[in-house]
Amino acid sequence: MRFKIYYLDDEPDLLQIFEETFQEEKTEITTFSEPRALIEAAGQHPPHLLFLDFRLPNITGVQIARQLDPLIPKILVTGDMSLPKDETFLIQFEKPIDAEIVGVFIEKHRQAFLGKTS
Amino acid sequence: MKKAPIPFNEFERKRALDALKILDTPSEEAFDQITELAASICQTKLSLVSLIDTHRQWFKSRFGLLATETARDISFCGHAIMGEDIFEVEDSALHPDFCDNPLFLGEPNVRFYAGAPLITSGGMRIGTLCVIDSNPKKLSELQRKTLKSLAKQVVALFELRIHRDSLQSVYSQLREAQSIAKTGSWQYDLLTGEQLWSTEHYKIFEIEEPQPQEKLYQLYRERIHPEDLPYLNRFMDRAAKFGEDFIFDHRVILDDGKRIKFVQGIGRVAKDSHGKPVLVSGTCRDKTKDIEEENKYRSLFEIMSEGFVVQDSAGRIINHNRAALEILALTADQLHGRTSMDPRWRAFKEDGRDFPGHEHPAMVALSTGKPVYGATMGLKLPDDSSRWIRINAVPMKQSGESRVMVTFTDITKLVQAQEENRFILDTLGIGVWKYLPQTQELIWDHSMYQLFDINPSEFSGHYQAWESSLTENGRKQALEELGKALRGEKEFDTTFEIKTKSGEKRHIGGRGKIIRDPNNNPQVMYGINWDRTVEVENEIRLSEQRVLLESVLNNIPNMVFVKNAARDFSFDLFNKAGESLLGIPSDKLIGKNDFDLFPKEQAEFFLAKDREVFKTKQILKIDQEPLDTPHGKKWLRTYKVPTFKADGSPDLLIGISTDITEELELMKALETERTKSIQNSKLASLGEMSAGIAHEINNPLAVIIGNINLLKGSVSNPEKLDAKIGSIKRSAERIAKIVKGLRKFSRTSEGTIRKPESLNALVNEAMILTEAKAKRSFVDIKLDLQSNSTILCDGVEIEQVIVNLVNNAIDAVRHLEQKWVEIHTFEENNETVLQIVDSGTGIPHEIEQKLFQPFFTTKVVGEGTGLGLSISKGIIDSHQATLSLNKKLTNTCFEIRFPKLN
Repeated sequence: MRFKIYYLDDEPDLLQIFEETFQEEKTEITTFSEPRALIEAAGQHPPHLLFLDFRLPNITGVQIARQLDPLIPKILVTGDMSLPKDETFLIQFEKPIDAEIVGVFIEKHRQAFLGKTS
Repeated sequence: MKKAPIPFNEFERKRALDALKILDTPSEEAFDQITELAASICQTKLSLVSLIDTHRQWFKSRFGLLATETARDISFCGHAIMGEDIFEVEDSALHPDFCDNPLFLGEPNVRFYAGAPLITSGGMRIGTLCVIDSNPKKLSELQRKTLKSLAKQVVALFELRIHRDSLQSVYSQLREAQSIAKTGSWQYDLLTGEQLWSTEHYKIFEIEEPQPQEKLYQLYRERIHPEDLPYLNRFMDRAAKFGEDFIFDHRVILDDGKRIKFVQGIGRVAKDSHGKPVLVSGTCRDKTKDIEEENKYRSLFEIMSEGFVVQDSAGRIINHNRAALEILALTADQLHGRTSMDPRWRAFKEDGRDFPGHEHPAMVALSTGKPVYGATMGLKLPDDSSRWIRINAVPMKQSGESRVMVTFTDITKLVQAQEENRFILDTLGIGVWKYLPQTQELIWDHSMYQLFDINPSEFSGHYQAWESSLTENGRKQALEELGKALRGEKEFDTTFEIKTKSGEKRHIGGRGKIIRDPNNNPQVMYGINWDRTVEVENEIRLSEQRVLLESVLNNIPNMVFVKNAARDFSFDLFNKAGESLLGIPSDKLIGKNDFDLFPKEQAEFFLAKDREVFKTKQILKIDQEPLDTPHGKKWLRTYKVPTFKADGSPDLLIGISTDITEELELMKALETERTKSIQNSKLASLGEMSAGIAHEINNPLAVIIGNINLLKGSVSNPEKLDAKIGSIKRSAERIAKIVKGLRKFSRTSEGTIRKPESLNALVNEAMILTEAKAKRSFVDIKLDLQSNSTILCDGVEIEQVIVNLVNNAIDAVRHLEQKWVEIHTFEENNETVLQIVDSGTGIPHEIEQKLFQPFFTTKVVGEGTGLGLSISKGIIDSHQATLSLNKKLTNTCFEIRFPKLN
């Protein structure tokens, strides 16, 4: 079973960069620019990590997170530095994200997932 | 010789002789023919008509003799008159009585004498017709008879002559009388139709005398006026038929009708023994002069404007003229027979009381027998209007009857004029007085009593009455002025104070004129008085007001000045504020003009403005004018007000200047403050927006950084590399755009400098800054930019207003279900309109009022300063644009209207 990461952002360039930066063997990255598509996918095939942009058209990442399975580890990605911490999320990354740190964060979670399954 | 004897009846005889008036008259042919005839028949040398006078015999006629008379005593004739028959002396030489007679002895040698006495019809022998010869002789019987009858003829001639003479005298007297009386006489024989006219009759009819009967009849009838002719015919007819006398007044036409005489003919009829009319005799009189005279008086009487009536002893009107009818407004029938006592006159006196009939001047004149002059009477005419008449009544006797002649004049107009004058004087409260300085008599009219509050019955009519009413001040003033006037130093024209008996003080104006006698002594003084109390009090009040006004004028901080616009705009007045502003005392300013006081350039500026005021005839406001003063350069705001004289020419220019130097400095400071506050507000907005903007920047930044990290791995793949670089570039440009917008927004306004800016561009720039907030709040912003106008503005300030309004709109709708903001630009009514509509449902009424007040906000603390709208409004106002709430829409709509830029 591959390690599944979902990413929702309304900025297509960022989705592209995210996919390219964190593409790994045994890791499956799926990006969404539409919240509804994400919610549907997460309901059927819950990811192992879910990255959500905060500021989305007509909705925030926080609102989406609250509709999803609480067991899905969620990470908030935002350019807005004044946001308070939210319990729904595992962690909050500020844009622009530090690829190294986010890479380490993803790797740790992947290994934990792989160790559990293997 | 025997002297001629004197007859016993000598006295009567002499009187009879004298009565014949024959003595010493010239010889007459008739007598001379008789003496010649007598001498011829008696065949004598001489023949005489001898008249025996007292002492002589005088020859009326003498044939063959030169002497005119001889003495009576020697006369033969003196003897001849002693008997009735012929006295004959056949031969004087043989006659004892005459043989020694001188007339026989001397010339004419009377030898023979025969004389037939001249016996008057009264039997008096006045003389003889005698024949004389110088030879003896004896008359035959025939000769004697002839001589006797010739003697009778002589007497007849004498007597005829005397008759003729007396007839002639009567006739000439008649002629004269007729001429004087302008009365002719005439006779008309009814049987023959023959008429006889006197000379005067001819004259009256202006027909040449004499005329043959037929011609006279024709001329007479031609001259009678055709209208009068039928009367003549009738009169003559009736005279002939019935013997009626008549008076025939008729007109005589002369000079072909150019002239008319009025003639009165009177005819009396004479009848024969059977009573049959046979002769009409009478007179005719020229009455033209009388009639003209009468007409003259009659017409004078008729045309005179005075009314004239004659009343009989009972007061009945028996005669009147035309003016009487007019003045009394009655017809002749109404007037005739009416008495003075008749109640229909409705007479009244000047004081309005009834005028009793027995007091009527006519009745008074009748009862006293004395004339009454100048009575004034009012009458109510039949139409109820009033008429005033002045009446004179003079009593007289006419055919033994008492009469009164009454004349009257219509003085209604005079009385009305007097009443009007009286009314005017009363209304004006003007009293009229007369003063006689010599007797100190004072005469007042009715208004004077009111002015001085003195009862007419208490008025002494003495100068003292006036003087005693004066107050102490009044006396000093009035007596001095009166003295001057009486001495002729000046006209009496003054105001003095009096005190009425009730203690009230009055100021009385007085004016008078003095009439002087030839010695220049004041004879009489006429004058008027009127109440000037109110006027004097007003004068006092006015002077108090003037003091007040001066005090106001000098205490107000504004400079007030008055320039004489009729002359050279020199200063007439300067108040204290003006003095201290210019640092020049008022007395050095009055009479000077701007050129005397200020530099030429400034003076020219002031003068140009002054002229403009009078050209436009309107108050001119000069918002700022500089003035160099000892306190430095001052700025004034000046109002210049023109005033005009009655004829419309410039009179005064009133100037009111306010020193606005401090105000201007304050305004400058305020402007600085405003700019600062705008800047502050902008910074506050930036602070509010910064989070959103940071997010906007962070996104492209994340793209850039992400792509840079991926660039290493893309080096081998040029296509991928290009895409990455393109993405980095796009993101960097996006950041650059945001930063540019921020920089522009945060820039401090350049002040009042306005440039044409595209409204749409300003909206788009504002969107860069507001987009982030809108996105963060999930507010949908829709742009509908129809306008393509440019507006003259400070772009930074307008952009700030748009940002403010859009931010407010976002804040207002962010918690609503419907979240949108629409921005419209369009042209309407020559204005460029910007509308910011949001999905809200309008602003509550109570908030609406406070909307544009500073520090008013509905946001929670920390979310807004409450300055946004008030600052926005200030900015828009300063752009001569309007910012308001458009309540026509159901959604909230803020609207800005800019004047369209040409």
